[in-house]
Amino acid sequence: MALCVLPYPNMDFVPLDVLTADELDQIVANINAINAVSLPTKVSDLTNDSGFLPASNLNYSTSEIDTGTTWIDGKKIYSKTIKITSPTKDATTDYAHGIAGFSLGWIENMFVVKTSDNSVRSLNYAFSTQYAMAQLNATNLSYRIPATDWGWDSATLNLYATIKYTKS
Amino acid sequence: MNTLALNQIALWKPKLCDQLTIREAGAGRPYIENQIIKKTTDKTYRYAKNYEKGKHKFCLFVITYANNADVVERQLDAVAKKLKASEIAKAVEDSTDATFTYTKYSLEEK
Repeated sequence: MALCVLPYPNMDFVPLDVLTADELDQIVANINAINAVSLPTKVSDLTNDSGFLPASNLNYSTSEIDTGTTWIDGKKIYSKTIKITSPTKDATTDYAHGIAGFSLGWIENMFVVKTSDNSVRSLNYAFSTQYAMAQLNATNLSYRIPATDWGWDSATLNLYATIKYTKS
Repeated sequence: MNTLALNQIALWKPKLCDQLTIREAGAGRPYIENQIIKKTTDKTYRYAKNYEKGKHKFCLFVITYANNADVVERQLDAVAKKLKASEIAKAVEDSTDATFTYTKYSLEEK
């Protein structure tokens, strides 16, 4: 959104002031400058300069997104969705997320999708020796997907994890 | 549009410049006194200054024969402190480029 620059920024007046013709022209010029500022009319018009949260920050992406928000220490919060095709089952597996300068992060959302029918399961299972697990650190997203007992041991799956993080 | 009342302090939305500004006008300006329209007999001076009270920003101005800026400014400062937030908010909301609200305060003649 363009900033409004008044042609006469020091034009100072109050009601009942006796103004000259030149001063009236200056006031009109200022009003015209304000009216000439084009305001955003749809969400896609919003940019970082507008002070509003850009529409792109609300989307999910496998690329890093600046969410436009900050953590309690003032650092920017970034978002990234990781997709792991055919994730390993029945073993804790590390997936290198490749985020340089990773400082603090958390897993916003994580689930597996059965590709045959798009069924979704979250990773919150524990039974006997079978359990699901998710962990995030500076290098890896670590996960464990159950195999037997969970019933999806033969299914073809995709794993999705949306993480949010700050950088040092 | 309001009528000029000499020495009556007015409340308006914030003007462009925050600091005290003064504007001189020649004699012959119509003004109202005791419900009678009269004309000024000498130069008048308009003093205006912005203030902030809590989250409210506003302007106080007064038109007077007095030409001592320091004295007038001190009186405007004093009135700004006395005004209530609700009164300020209402006056600012009702303000247009041409209309304002008179307060109950007027300049003290010294």
